[in-house]
Amino acid sequence: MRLSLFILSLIFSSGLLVGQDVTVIASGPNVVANGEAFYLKYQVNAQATKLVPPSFGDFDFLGGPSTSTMHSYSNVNGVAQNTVTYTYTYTLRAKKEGKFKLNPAIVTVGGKEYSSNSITIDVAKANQQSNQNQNTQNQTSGPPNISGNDLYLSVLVNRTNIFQGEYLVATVKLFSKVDLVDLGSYNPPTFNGFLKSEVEQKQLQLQKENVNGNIYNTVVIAQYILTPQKSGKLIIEPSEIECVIQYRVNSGRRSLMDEFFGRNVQRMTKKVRSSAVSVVVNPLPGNKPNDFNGTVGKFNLESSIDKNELMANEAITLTYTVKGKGNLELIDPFQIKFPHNFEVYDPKIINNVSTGINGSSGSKTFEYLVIPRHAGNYTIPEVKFSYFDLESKTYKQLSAQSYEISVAKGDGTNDVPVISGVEKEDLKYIGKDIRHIKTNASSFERTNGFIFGSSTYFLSFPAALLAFILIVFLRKNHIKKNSDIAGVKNKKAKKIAEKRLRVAHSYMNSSNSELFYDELLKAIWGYFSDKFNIPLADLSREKIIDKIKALNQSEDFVSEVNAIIDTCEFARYAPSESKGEMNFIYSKAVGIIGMSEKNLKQI
Amino acid sequence: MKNIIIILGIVIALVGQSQTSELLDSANARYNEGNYTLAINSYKKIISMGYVSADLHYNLGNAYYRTGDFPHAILNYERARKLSPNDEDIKFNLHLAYLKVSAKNETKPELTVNIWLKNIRMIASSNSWAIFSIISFIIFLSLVLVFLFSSNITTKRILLVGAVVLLFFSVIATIFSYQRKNDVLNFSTAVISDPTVTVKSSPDVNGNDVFIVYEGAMVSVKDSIPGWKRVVLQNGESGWIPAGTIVEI
Repeated sequence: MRLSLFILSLIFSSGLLVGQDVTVIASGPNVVANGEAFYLKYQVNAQATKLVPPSFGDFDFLGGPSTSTMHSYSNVNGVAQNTVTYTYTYTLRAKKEGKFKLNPAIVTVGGKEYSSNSITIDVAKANQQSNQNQNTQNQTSGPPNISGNDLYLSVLVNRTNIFQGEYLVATVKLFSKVDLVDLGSYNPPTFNGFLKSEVEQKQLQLQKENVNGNIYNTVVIAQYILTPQKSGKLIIEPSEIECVIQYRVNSGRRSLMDEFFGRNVQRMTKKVRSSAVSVVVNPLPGNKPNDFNGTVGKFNLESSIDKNELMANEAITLTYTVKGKGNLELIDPFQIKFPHNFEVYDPKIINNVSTGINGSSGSKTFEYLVIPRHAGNYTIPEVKFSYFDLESKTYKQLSAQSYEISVAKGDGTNDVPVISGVEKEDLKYIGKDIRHIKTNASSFERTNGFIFGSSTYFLSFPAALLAFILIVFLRKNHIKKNSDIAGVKNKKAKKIAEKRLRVAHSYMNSSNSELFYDELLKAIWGYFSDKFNIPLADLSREKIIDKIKALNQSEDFVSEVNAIIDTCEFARYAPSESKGEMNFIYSKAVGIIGMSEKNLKQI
Repeated sequence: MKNIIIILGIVIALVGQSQTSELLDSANARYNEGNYTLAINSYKKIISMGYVSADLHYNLGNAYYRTGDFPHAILNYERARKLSPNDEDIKFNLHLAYLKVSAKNETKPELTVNIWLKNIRMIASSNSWAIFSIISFIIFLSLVLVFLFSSNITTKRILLVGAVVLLFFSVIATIFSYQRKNDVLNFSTAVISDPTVTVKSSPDVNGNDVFIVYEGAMVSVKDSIPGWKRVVLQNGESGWIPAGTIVEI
């Protein structure tokens, strides 16, 4: 059982081996010096039955192929992986200067032919390095004179003319022809006006490079991704590094031991400094869209929604993703005009941006969680995003579609506390616009034709007052007259007397002498009472005479008044039946009253 | 004869009223269409015909607001507010218009009594107050007459109180009539229309700078000579500014 399982697994793994793609990778040094020997390697992940190398006509063939095999077996989470790598190594030597291309090698695995990649090898002029040993040996003791050509630091930029927002890569590289042992303190360049992010270096690696026909050992000290923050000519200030160099000293006598233990080798430090590099940053064209945020590169915008139909108080997740190359980090969450009664939470931002020597790329995702609080049909408007396209050198606008959402009535359990909050937002939002005009025809006021200030107005008060005064005056007069009782009595004295006389006259006609004299006396007394404003009770003959005398009346009139009172009083007690007598007295009384009326008018 | 004149007057007034309400309707229609410049012209035409109302100035202010002419909008809202001090819409839009300009909306706090008086004053027009004052004066006089010739002590007391009250009414109504007329006719408030204006101590370009006012600030014009106006700010500061930097009704 166990055996069969083992066999099975073996078959399986071998099958895996067969099913796997066969790859052939050719590798060799980029640069070699003329006359230098080097290795050319072909790595195959399966055992090759045959390997046909390209022609090595441009090089001296020294030997090979030597074969080495590497097995590796891994079992990750039960998945077993078996890797075998076969390496075929040829040793070659460069024999002339120039760039030479090595054509692909043909490898036959399991009857099938596979070809490797082709590689190019740059053969440079041989340095004096090989002879240097002798040279230095001939020198006297002391450090060698190292020129700027032998050891220099340089800041290399991949572009010197870019747009604002576009990135560039600055590489600080040390070039050396001397024996470099160690690196001391490093002063990075200052990038004024740039936003920098450093590309992590795994470890310092020495590489050979051909610079104008000279072979240098190069080390990349640091690498920076730079994004200019302003336009114009920006300068990258120089960088500095301390290098430790090893050199031989001529100690006169040489022993193998000395050389072996490095006793005649000494070290020195040297500071090297790069030169400043200037970069021209072009401003972005002026016709910027309103929603442009400084994003430069090439992007696309995607959006998705998890549901269109839901109940109130359920959550919707809206996702907007910007993918592409460029300064993604500048993209802010989109300002989406959600319907007012949606509860909107701050978007969740998922950054998936990697920054490498190819600039920033990746995606930025904004996840909006919104909760409609009321039933209804809503629209989430389309979202627009503008960026500057570096390829076409124009602004481009991306848009994500709008979404129609229909919200059904929820169970309403948590409606109440939410409403107030939503309402508040509503007010704030709507409050941004003025209220509408008033359309119902309003009552106008005239700007002319005022009553106030007109002469009519000002005259109406004095007129009213005048009328008032007039009425008061007339009324006062009337009252005055009415209130003067004596005067009235005075005026009415004759009337009353005449009335009584008329009554007396009628008694005379009916020959009722007693009543006649009585009435006659009453008329006379009454008349004087009224005339002199003396109550009847107080009236006496003396008073009447005094009053008349006081009015300067003649003695005749006084005696006549006296006589008639006497006659009447006498007649009352001894009434004469004679009609002639009565007539005489009557006419006398009338005469007295008439006379009095005439004489006493001035009272 | 007199009757005929009165009837004629009423007819003319009615015709005028209907004509203006027609104009108002058309102006409102222009506004609703979004043709704010035409709406402004129509509203102004009604005003030039000798009519005025809070709503009219409010609508005109709205039209100015829509065209982005905030100083004029503020001016008309202020005018509308003077004619109808308690209208919430006017206050609201005035507040919004002030947000659009640099100047602050500085309204002096008023005494509560003043506000009450103002509210009472706004009940009727100047003419109504004038008529009321005449009538109450006449009634006052009549009461005095009855008082003078009445003999009953109780009646006399009541009449005296009534007469004093009516005289008071008459005086108040006269004052209100005057103030309402002023509300309608005299509006000396102006609004700064330039973004910033330097106020000078004398009507001269080389005059000393006194202070700076910003767009939307309310000033009252106290004096003017060709090219210059003397203005007094709400806080009492005064000075001369070039005539073109303010807008007036």
